[in-house]
Amino acid sequence: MPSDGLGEFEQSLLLAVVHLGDNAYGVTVRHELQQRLGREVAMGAIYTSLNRLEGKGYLRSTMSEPTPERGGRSRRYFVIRPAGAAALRESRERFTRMWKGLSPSLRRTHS
Amino acid sequence: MTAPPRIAVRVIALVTGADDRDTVLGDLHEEFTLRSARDGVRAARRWYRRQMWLSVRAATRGAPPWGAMSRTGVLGDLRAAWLACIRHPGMAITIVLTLGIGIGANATIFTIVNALLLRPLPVTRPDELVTIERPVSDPSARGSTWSTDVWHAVRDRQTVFASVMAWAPINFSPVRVDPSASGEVAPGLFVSGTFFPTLGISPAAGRLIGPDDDRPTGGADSFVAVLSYEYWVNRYGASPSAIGRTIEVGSRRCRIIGVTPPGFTGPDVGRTFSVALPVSLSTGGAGLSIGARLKSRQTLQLTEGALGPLQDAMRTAMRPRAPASQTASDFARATAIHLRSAATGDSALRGKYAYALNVLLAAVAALLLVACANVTNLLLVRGVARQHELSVRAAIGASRWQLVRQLLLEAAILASGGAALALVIAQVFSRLLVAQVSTVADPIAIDVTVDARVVAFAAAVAFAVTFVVGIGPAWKAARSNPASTLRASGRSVARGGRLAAADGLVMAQMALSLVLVFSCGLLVRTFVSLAQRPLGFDADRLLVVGLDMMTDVPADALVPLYHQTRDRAATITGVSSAALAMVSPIGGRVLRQDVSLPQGTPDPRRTTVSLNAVSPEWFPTVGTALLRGRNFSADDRLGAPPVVVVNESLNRALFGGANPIGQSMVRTPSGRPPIAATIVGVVPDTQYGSLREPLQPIVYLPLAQLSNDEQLSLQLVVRASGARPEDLSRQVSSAIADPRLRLRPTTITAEVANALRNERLSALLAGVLGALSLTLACIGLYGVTKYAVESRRRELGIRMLLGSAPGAIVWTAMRRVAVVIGAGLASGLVMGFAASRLLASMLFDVTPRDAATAMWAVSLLLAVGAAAAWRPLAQTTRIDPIQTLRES
Repeated sequence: MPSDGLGEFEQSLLLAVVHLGDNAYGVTVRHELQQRLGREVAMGAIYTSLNRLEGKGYLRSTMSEPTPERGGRSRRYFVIRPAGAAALRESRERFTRMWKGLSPSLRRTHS
Repeated sequence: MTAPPRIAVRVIALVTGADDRDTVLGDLHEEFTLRSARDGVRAARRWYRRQMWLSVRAATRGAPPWGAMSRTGVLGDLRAAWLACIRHPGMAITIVLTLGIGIGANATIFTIVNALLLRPLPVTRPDELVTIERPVSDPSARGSTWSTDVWHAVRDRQTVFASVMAWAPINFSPVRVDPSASGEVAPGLFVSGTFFPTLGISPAAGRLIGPDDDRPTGGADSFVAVLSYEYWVNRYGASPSAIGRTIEVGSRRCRIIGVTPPGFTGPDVGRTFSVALPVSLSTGGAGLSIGARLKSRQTLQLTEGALGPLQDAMRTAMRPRAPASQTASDFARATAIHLRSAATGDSALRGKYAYALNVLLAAVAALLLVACANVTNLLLVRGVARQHELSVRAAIGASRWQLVRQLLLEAAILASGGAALALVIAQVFSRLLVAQVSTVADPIAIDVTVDARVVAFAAAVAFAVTFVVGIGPAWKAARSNPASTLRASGRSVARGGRLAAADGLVMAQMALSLVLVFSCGLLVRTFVSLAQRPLGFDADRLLVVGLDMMTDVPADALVPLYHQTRDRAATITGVSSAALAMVSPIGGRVLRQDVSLPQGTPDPRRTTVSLNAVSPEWFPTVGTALLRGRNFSADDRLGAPPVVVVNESLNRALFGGANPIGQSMVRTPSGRPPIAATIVGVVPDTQYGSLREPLQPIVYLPLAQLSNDEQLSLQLVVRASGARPEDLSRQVSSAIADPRLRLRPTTITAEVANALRNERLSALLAGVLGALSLTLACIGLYGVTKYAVESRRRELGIRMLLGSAPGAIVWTAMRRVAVVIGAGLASGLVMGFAASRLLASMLFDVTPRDAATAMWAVSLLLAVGAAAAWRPLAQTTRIDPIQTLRES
């Protein structure tokens, strides 16, 4: 299945979910992004993209039991689906192809 | 466990879509808990608030935090409308400011109307409260007042109400917080023992006056007093130890038993009270207001139908005091009672300001129309600029309704912004306005806070404004044919229809502005005429103290008491002289009588004069020099030959200005035989009664030649030798304080300011409104002129190439502006003359159609209009013809 390409933020999200395994939900995903990218992202913006990825069939989400430390609210856990993994691989391959043979000459850019 | 900041939680919930809301809030809560354990609560809360900003920023930028929510539907439109608004922040701010001023002026006046007329009293179920009234000749007067006998009849005989109450406003003097303190005049209330229970309010401290306290001998606590919350805070620092202390009210030492709740200022809106005493202590026979609480689930009409027995009981109590001459049917008519809802309390201010408030409402409505015209114009211009965008949306399938809906939503967002600003304006300016009207002598205490009703009003106005300003531009923009617009894309086309609409709006603005500026001119002239009116006496250093008996002093003892009071006042340091008079020099009551030349004179002219009875010190005290003859002396007393002093007007009216000294004159007191008196002196004319009245003939009688029962209430007039009379007021009040007297000190300057405060305020308000509307009209005119010039650049450029002189070019562009201004001013003049008739009763010394004022207003608008149109017009000469051709 040809993918329609992942945006940079979407890739980062999917990778964060993969890194986190079965502990991927809002707080941990955001933490992961912040640690690895050094960017603070609004929680709402994360869910916007997560929803979109779920809609494309790349992710699946399940709700947990409500817990008191969350003010009695549920966690929404995300796990990657095979289509998501495929899309990630494909994105990586595309970029690898694009990068091939480019790295040394990238030094000679005009500032 | 600590919780995240509530406001931040709300905001995040608001900007997050329903599907994700719970999860997002849960995640944030969890992280908040982690962070508050790790970094401390303060840091965690700071972090949470930062999350709020991140969410809001994400929501207002393209990436919606509400995720997969559909982009169609009202929320999607709302978002698109919001983005469209903030894409042109300059225009959005201009529109919000304009609407803020327009709606704000309306909200300000409404806030006052609300406080004065609409807001229910802060008591239990105010809609059950009624007052018992009888027919009145003057509908603007305060409600009916009743004698103590009638109140007792009502209290003891009524069965139709759940409970009844009586009260009377009174100024207590002197009131001493402790025996050593100097006395002050404090607004007070006499209340029946049933008053507080009937209103159903509970004390802020201690207890309130109850039926057991309302006994002539005092209750178990002897004499008791209840303080208002404000007085308790101001005089006792809200100390609980105030309860049980003694306060001296008038001649009585009363024990403070409690404090009324905050916000309760008594049953009369606009008049506060400091101290309330049981009504049984009232001996002055003050008129009582009688109110009642309806039985639950009884309507006013049903209860009114069952008033028969109560009516009879009240008539029985009233009959002994009815004039003997009154026929039975007249008596029945004059005592027929009815009920009036007291849900919003009672107010003497209502009759006084209702007319002015209505005129003001009309004026602010005009201002709002001017503001709307401006905004409509801006939206029209923007609609033209966005034609391309809208056409594209129509071409890809948006229905006309969808486009109209989006444009209306944009207008709604802008109007809501305006309404929010309006509430801030209303909060500030309604206070300022009330402070302007309130004077020391006559304080007005109305609570002008912005409450739910004001918010609802602003929202309703914003809703109406949305349609008024939004529907035209929206319809116009949505109606355009996408195909033809796209084809013509980018080329600027002057559209006759749009411009005609804009011109019409600017014309209406000019017209409405002229109406406001013209009205302002009339009111300013009225104010100046009245303020500069010579009073005929030296008013600056006069203190006037109204003297009334407080208790039942026999008239024969009262008059010597008044004279002792005058003698005491004259010896105070800082007082150069003191006099007694029946009528205060200005702003007091008015006495009139018929006078004529004696029978037998060839020409017994009759004329109605104003009357004053004065002590011999009067003329020197008010600073009136005698023109002829002599002043009154101690010899002019009862039994001696009657003498009078007359003013010049009277001398002219009766004697044609000839020397009247020694002549005789007959005055006819109502219900008494005529009295012939010799004229012993002539004084210059002075103002009498109201400032608005013309100088009139005045006859002065020696006070000593009146019988004692004609002198029940007198004015003590004191001239300060050096200090300002205001500073002397307290000193005089405490020096002459007497338990039997009620003192009402004021100064002439304060009386004049008091008499003119309505005029001053009307002129000020009309000025502010006129200036605002003029500013808005100029912005509109500037915009339209600029647009007219811009859209005709090409045409003007070609004309220049063809050799037109710059002057002719400017004239071409100016013609249109001139027509707009001219037509606007002409219709404004017609409207102005029609509107100023409404002002007729407020004017003085100027007619509603005063030509000079109209000329002044027209020239002002012409000058300001020309200034506004000048810049865009001047730019026409700088058009580069080649450039304009290249652009097209």
